[in-house]
Amino acid sequence: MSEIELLQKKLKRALSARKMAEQILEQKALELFHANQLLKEANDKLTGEVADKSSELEKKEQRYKKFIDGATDSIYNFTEQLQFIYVNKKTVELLEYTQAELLSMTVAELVHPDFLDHATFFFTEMLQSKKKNGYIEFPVMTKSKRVIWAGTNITFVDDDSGVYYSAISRDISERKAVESDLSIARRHLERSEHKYRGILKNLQLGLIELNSERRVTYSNLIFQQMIGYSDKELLGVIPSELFLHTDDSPIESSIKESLNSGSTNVYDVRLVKRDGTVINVLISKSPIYNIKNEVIGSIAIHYDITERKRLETELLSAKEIAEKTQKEQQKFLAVMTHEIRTPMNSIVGMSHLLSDTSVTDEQKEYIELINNAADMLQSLVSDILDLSKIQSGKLELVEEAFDLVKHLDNCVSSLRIRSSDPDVQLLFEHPDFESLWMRSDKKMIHQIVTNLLHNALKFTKKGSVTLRIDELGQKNLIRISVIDTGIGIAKDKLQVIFHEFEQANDRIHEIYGGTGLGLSICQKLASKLNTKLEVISTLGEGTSFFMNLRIQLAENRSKMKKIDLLSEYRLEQLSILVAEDNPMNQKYISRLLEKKDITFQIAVDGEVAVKLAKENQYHLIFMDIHMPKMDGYEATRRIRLSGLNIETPIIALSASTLLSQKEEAISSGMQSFLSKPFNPSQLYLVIKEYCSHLANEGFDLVDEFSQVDEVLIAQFYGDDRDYMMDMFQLFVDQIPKDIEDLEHAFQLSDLNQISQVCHKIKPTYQMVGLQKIAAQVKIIENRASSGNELVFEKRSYILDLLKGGIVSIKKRIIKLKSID
Amino acid sequence: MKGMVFTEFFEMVEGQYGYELVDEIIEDCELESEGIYTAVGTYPHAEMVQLIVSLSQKKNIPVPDLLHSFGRYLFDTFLSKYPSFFHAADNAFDFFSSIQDYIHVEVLKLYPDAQLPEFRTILKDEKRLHLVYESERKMSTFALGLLEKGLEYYKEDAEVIVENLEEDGSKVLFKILK
Repeated sequence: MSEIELLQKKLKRALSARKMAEQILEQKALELFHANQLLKEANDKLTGEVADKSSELEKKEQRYKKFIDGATDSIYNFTEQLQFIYVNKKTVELLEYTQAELLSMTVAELVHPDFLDHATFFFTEMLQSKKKNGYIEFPVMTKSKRVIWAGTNITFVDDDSGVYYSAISRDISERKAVESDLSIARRHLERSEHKYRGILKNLQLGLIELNSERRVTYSNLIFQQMIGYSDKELLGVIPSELFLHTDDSPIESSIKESLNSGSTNVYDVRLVKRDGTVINVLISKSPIYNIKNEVIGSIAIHYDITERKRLETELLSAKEIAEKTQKEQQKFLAVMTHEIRTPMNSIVGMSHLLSDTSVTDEQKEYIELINNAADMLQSLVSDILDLSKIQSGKLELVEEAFDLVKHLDNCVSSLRIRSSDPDVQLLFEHPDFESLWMRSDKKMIHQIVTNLLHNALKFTKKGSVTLRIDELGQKNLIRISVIDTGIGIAKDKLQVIFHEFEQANDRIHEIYGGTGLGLSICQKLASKLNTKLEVISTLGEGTSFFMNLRIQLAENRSKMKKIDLLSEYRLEQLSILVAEDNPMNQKYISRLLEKKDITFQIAVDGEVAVKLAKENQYHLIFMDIHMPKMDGYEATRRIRLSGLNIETPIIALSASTLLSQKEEAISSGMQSFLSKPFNPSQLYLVIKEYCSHLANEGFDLVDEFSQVDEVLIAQFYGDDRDYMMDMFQLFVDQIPKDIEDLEHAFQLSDLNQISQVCHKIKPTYQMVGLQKIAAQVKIIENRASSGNELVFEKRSYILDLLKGGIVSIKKRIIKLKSID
Repeated sequence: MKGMVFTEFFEMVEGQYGYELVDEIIEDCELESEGIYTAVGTYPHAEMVQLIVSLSQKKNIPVPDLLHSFGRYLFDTFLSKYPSFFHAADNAFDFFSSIQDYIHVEVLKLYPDAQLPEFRTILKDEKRLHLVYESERKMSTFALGLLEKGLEYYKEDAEVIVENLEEDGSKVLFKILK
């Protein structure tokens, strides 16, 4: 190829390339033009927007200026050197300087001198730490030297507008004043809290505070010592997870509940100490409230009662043992006394029967001595029983009418027989009385006197032992004394001797023996009789024991015509069942009933008794409690279900005098209780009491109480028989209603009502000459009004008496009519 | 590929061997563009490969050696056309390490469709600069030519050690030691 051709080729290529480049450049230029166009448009738009924004900004600035000038807060800017560069209107108003003045001042010049350090420190701190915002309170001084507390929010500004502080201050003088009051109040509170924490500390009470999640937020030292965990270990712990005994954890929920309801409660719980030992604590929990009165936690005060709990448990078990022992002792005594009393019953009974046979005077005296000795033995048994009864508070006061002189004479006589010491004279002096009929508990007085005489004889080797009854000037007040010329008692031992199991000194026991129980029983019995046993003594010369008794005088029965209680009944119509296993007792009762021609059957045990009761209708059943095969309670229950004898009175026979036995007898369906040993008249009285209601069915019932006092009605009515008849008829018509009322009152056990009805009934009975019944009614009335519940036991007795009175008067009417 | 590379390539060949050889390789390759390039245009990379391979055969010079020479030649072109890039750096290390994040970024601004190799700096201290070249075009000797000329320009006395990280030459480590 030639050079020219080559150059042509190159040129051609260069031309083509130029055209191509031109084309590309043209295209690029066009693109550029379009791009430029777009840019121009965008620029126009932006310019417009900038103008809009500018005017808007200006408006905003105007608004802000207005807002700032109108602001109730003081707004100002100052440099890092604290030089003011802007202040708003409020600032000028507040500080009383002009705007120009302020702009030439620094903030420091306005701060109260006392707080200048505080403020300077704050600004320096803010500058150094490059903090953007801060808040400070300090007092400022106005031009007129007024002090204003300012609360200031400060912002550090570093932008196009410059580097400076912008501040907004508010007058907080009022709040400061309140706060200062508050701080005084808070100081008081703190002091009081301090005081109470101090008290808690001294009281050795453990204290913890819990938050709403029941986590410990505070524990005092005592609590830490109590539980064995340190302050740090306790912090944030939930009690049930660390130290509350797992058995007591259910209590947590109840605590929570009661706390939520806002109540304060005390809990007795166990806590487990760090070392694993368990302690008992009393926790008093109360809620803690916030200002809105919401429960935000609780405070728990712990009192360690471990030792107390232990003692309590020990005491409780000791008490249980003691009670059990006492019960067993009582049971034993009840059984023993029963065993002794049963043969005693026979001795007493048989000697009574013996005295009913034709005996010589000499024999009679011996029989009397047997009786006295038997009584003595009974007393001894009673002594033991009484002590147990006194100790268990079951001693019953049994009042009856008796001649104190005669009774004490018997005591002395029986002792005289026993003590045959010729050097000691046993005397009984009763200068003021020939006889003294009174109502009281014969046994108790007997027991006291016998005991005192025994003691006196024991400690007197020469001289005399004297029993004395004196009237003490006042009406119905007597003194019973036992005076001896024995060894005497040292002054400092005079009270000791009344304590159980204590004697004046240990040698007494060695020389004289004795349990040291006697005087203690006497003193307790005396207090039952509403008196006190007292003692005067001179060592080596002798001792006087005495008690003053306010007595209730009783009729002199010795002057009464001794009547055979059942002689006027037509008793052969009666049919009685006697359930008794002891042959001697069977014989005794048999003889007594035979003497009165009463028909009876003997059942040798409970089973036989039930069998007989199913086949025969009885008027009365005597039921021994302790019998082989079936006891009296069970037999009674069966008889009560059997049909024939559902309503027949059943009287328990028992040697026991325990109230509990009486109660069981009544609850098993028996009506009353006859204590063994009983004498014949006691048995006859019971028969009379429970069979008198049969009088209308043919019994001729006239007894000592139902006898009309002829002298009295003669005084009332003279010869006017019509008047008498009217009164008697009125009585018969009216009185059943009153008796019904009385019965009702008894049913209600209403002592007040009983007393009132008795009071109403009494004169009515007097009007028809039933003086004795009236007297009994008066006794019931008196007792009822004095609240004596023994009245309830007299229910059937008095009701039968009253009904007997009606029968008596009815008969009297018939008699009067027949005379007509 | 930028048209300037083609035009510079033809200029180098013409300067060294005369336009006859330029015409020969254009005719030889039967290019779609018929060998007509302008600096402001953009052309397929394959055409450049065809042209270089053709030159290599004609002159019996290996392709890498050709690329190396081309790199050295093109440095002067870059220097005269874009001196500001070179003035921005005080020494070769700073300049080399700015290629990836500065020069290539600026190139992409001017020619958004440009396809540039990766040229990462992985170690740089007083004495050492390690650069990793990575490109599917496998033109590391071209880069080496540029680097050598760069060292000369900044009057640096340094040695360049080349290590292939991929056998096909698509990834190469340049260790430049002063």
